[in-house]
Amino acid sequence: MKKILLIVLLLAGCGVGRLLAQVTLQVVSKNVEKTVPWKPGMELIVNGEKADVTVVPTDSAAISVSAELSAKHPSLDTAQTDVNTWQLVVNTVGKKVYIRAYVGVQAGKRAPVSNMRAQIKIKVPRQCAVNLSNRFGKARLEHLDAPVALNGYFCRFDLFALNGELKVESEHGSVDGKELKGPVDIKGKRADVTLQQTAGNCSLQTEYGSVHFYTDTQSGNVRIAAQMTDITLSGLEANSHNYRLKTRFGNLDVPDKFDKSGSTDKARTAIYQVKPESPSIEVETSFGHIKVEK
Amino acid sequence: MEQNRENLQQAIRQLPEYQPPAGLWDTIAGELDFDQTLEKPLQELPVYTPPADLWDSLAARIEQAPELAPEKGIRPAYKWLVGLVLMALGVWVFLPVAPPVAPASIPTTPAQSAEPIALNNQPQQIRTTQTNNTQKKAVKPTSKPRLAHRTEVVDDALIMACRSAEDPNYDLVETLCKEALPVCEEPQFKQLKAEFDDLTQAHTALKNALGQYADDPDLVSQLIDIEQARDQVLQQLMAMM
Amino acid sequence: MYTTAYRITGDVEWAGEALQDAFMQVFKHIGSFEQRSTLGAWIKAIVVRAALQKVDRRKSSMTSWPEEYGDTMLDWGTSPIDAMQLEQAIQRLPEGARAVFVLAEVEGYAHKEIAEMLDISEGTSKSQLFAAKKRLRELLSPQMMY
Repeated sequence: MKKILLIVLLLAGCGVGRLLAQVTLQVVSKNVEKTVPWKPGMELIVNGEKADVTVVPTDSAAISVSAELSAKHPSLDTAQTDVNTWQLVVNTVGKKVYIRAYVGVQAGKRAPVSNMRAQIKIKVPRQCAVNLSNRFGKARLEHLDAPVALNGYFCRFDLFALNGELKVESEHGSVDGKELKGPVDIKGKRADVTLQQTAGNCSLQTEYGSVHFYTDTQSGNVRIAAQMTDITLSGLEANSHNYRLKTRFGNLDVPDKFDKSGSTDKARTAIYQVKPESPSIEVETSFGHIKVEK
Repeated sequence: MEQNRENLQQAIRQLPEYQPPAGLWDTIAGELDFDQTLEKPLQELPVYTPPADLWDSLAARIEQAPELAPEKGIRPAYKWLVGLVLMALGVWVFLPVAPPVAPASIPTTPAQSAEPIALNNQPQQIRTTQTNNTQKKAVKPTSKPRLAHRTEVVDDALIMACRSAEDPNYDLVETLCKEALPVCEEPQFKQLKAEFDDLTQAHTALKNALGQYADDPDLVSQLIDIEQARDQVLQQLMAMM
Repeated sequence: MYTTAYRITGDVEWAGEALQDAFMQVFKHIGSFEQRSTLGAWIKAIVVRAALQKVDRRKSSMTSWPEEYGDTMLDWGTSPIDAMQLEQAIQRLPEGARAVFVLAEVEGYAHKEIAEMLDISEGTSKSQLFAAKKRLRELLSPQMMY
């Protein structure tokens, strides 16, 4: 009986402990929806902060924005005051449509103390070029045919089925891309980059991060110039690419069929050639490891 | 030289007026963020005050006008009529006025954000400026965005992770290098120090962005990663010193 | 506003775009409105300028008019002029002359103001107006009674 009582008390204690280990936040949010007309040749420029942005295609000749702008705080009054500092600006200047979500604090008023978050869903015509920058959030773009340029700081990029030219600059934010058909240019710093099913040529420059590149028969040339970056290459079984790998002050983990005879004390190299005319994967890193998955 | 000019002017006065194509005002409204644009100038609009002697003059006129005294009252025969008029006024003032029906050429837009955000535990709607208009003037969406309220429970491990105090050793490197230690001038040290500063800057920025009530596990996890990376660099720096 | 823009540009689409451009400018520069005129007049001037810019972009220019036009006597006749006929005739004017006519006769701007708006001399404004009227009279002549 004492044991049962002890267990009950223990469980109750755990329950209380669990409750104490949680904080209830009052979430006050405002929804904003805006639509602007779009004509071919117009470009969308998105500037977000603390925002989770989703860009999806639409068949209509308009760009529409649906945003939930929220403030989270244990005090309802505080959250309610802070949510009003959110601003969503949508305007067209010439051939550029600007969408900007930001926390605007008027002079003399206190800055928000709540956790401010924005969920922004943007629908754009597939042919609309997109230029997006975001800090401290996420961005997902999918099924677009026009060029896309991205800039992120602590922003995780999730990219799917982008058919136009893609340029990404990301610091402290991962980049996951799948089915990228156009040429890809990624500059990453402390960013983990994962690319699958690419069709165009890809160029990556990375520092302090990791790269995982899946190549297949559709993939074009791949160039990776890296520092302090571990690089993993998958897709060797497709036998579609020539490999030229080099690391300074790092390990090289490649199948036996790779030619490592060019290695020196300072740099390790590995070469594998399928056909001279095949697209190539060229990787050069320092203080990072290169691994080719079998 | 002109003759019978009035004849031309008469015709000019009768020239037709044109209406812009449907959707033009919508387009203009969409291109402008009125609230944002007007905020500053509206705040700067001049405020006019009446002349200083206006109130004295008003007070004097009221004193000289006994007919305004309330004792007179209303004749009973007209009380019902006055009541009806007041009631009609009240209805007119307080009932929502139906918007004018938009011409067929102007597209109508559904009321903004018709559905409130799903509320969790407390179905409390803080303030709702609800527009019942099924037709909205195309000029601009004047209705304020609706505020919705819900609660979220956050594990305080996330919150506490963002409130950890800075390691005092972080300042130690700065302090020691101010004493012009030779190691601080070595290229490898400088490179590590630059990396350390870079991480510190990112850490500060992220911590500020997360604030006191962080609830994004990804970003909190990144904060911890940066702290760990910074610790490693710090250890290397300290070892070199 | 739209009517003015339409009359100056003579084109529905350009008028719409002029109005859009104008209102963008109005809201961008509303802080610089100096209350020298009414707000309506200020906005209208911006609409007119935006419409004129549209005309400019269509590469129209002030066509030179023969000097002898200055000596011509214009007689608008004694019978009422049909407004719709006049409207059609205005639209058939060359763009530069049409702009000056609309600004001077319909909108009531002085030649000095028109000259500033169109970046032309007052003399050119006057001669363009006269040329416009001359052409209008020609266009309306089948319907006019003397």
